[in-house]
Amino acid sequence: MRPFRKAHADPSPDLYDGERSMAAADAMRDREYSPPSSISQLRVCFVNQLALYSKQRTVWTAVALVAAIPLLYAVLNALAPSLIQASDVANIHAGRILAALPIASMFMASAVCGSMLPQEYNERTVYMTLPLPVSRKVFYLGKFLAGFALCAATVCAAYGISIAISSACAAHSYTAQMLESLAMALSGLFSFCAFAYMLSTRMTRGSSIAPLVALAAAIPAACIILAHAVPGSTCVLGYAPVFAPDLALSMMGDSTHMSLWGLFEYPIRNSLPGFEVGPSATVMSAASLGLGALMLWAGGRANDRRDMR
Amino acid sequence: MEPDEDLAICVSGLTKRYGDFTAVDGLDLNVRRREFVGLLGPNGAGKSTTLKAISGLLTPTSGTILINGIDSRDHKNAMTRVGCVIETPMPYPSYTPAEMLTYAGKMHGIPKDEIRVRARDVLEELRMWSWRDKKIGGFSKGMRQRVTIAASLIHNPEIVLLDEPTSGLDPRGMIEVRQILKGLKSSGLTLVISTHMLKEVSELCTSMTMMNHGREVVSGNVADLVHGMSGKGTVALDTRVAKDVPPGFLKDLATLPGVAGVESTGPRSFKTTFSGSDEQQSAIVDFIQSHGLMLLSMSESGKDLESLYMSLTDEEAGA
Repeated sequence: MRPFRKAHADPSPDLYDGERSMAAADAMRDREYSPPSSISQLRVCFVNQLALYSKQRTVWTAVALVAAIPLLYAVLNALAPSLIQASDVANIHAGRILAALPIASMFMASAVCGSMLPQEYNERTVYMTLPLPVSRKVFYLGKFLAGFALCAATVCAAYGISIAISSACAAHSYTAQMLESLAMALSGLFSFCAFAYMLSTRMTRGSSIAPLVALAAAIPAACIILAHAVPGSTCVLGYAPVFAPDLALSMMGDSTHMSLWGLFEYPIRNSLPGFEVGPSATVMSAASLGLGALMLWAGGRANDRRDMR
Repeated sequence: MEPDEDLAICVSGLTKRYGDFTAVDGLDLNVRRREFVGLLGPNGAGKSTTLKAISGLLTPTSGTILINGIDSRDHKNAMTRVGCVIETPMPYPSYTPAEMLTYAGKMHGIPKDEIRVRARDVLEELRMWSWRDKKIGGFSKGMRQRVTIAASLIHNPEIVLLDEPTSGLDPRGMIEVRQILKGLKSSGLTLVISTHMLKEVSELCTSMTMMNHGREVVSGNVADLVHGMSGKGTVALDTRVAKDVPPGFLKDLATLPGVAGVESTGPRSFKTTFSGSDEQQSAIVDFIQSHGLMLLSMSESGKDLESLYMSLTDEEAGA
């Protein structure tokens, strides 16, 4: 949003600050305005939220996370080359570089989408927007889309950098699988963002910790335990969206990833057998998108009913 | 309910409950076009709750609200011609006033090239033009309040709702905001303010509704309500004249109809205890002028909004 200084010359120094410099007709004081369509207002909310991000540390944190990937890779490669083993296949190598994708995407979703609405309520900026002729649904959705867009851009950038690094030293690459993996990661990210956002509508103060703990530990642990307790339930529980990043990295051909399942797979298989991450990418994507949409809807209902005391 | 064309806001049977607590209880409120209505009452009376219900910040438990004949549940259409400053809103601290008004303008559907014109006009009116590109986070409370008022005016509203607009401001800030409100009043807007500052109601409002415990206590024209307090007390007329009061003048003054007593407060001033009509008060002025004393000032105290407020809230407390 550009400042006005270029559009209007500064008023004359003799002009008393407080006097209007324009006649009524020039100042359009008689003009009546109608609010634009909901789509236009959605776009305004979306752009507004992105503008707020650009003025806060959020964007720079995301940029730092993405920029850290090649730096971290270079450092680990120099200090402990066996940690990120190069491969002939770019997909596998990129998958290893993206090992932190599960926890990183959950963290980003929790930090960005878990705090947007509570911040508006607590800082009272929401009292500027809600009395405007805009529905709460549009406000709610516009902010969510901005948060998701930021997180998605970060994940895409992380994939891009990882693939670029791995392609430089690998002989083979399978682009279709890379794109499928990215799509899977984004659908999982969508459900994480929706979950954190929905949770924030029910909290007085925002929390990045609560959704992160739920996504990274509580929900996966519950699925694994239930699958062990209820034989045959893994065909459903294995498609919980929290395992979407695991599946995304598995599709790249790599098995090392920073998640509850990725880090503790073998001990879990030994002590709590019965759980498997769902193999079908289509079903996992559908489950992630569907559950994400459901949580978004639930959060929207809570937001609609919220009384601004 | 048939919408009345002359009514800007029509509130009927408004009730808001939070569990067992009733914040507003069956309130009826009609605001005519170009009226300046004050919602007066002590803390917790339900004033802010009423304005929040009208502006869509909360959902009434029961009752209906029509804004320009449109049901407030159709929030987008009902709020098209309304500007609000409710509950001391905070503009985004990282924004400048120009950016904040651009955001508000876009939401109201103001074309891009007109937003700059409208923003300049309202910022100049509120003496914020020279601050247009400074971050709001560094502003004082009074300056932030002016930005929020500017955002509520950018789209040329017909109705403006203000919830305790001078709350938390220093004396200079209060005076400035009141001047702004006087300016808005003279431009023909319909204004509703909630306040517990009697001075604001008596100086600015044409009509008022006094609330207590979520219910209307009294409503009507401010002057009528105050002067209709017959028998509720007398007023003191503090009078200053340009010449020394001659001997016998005060004794003669005390015989006029409506005068309960006269007391000298200086060689050129006196206090009259008065409980008569406006015509009888005018007769006192004529009496002073006929003695060649050249009236400088006559201020009324006692029979005013404060007395009305205290008496009505006392009655409510005892009820």
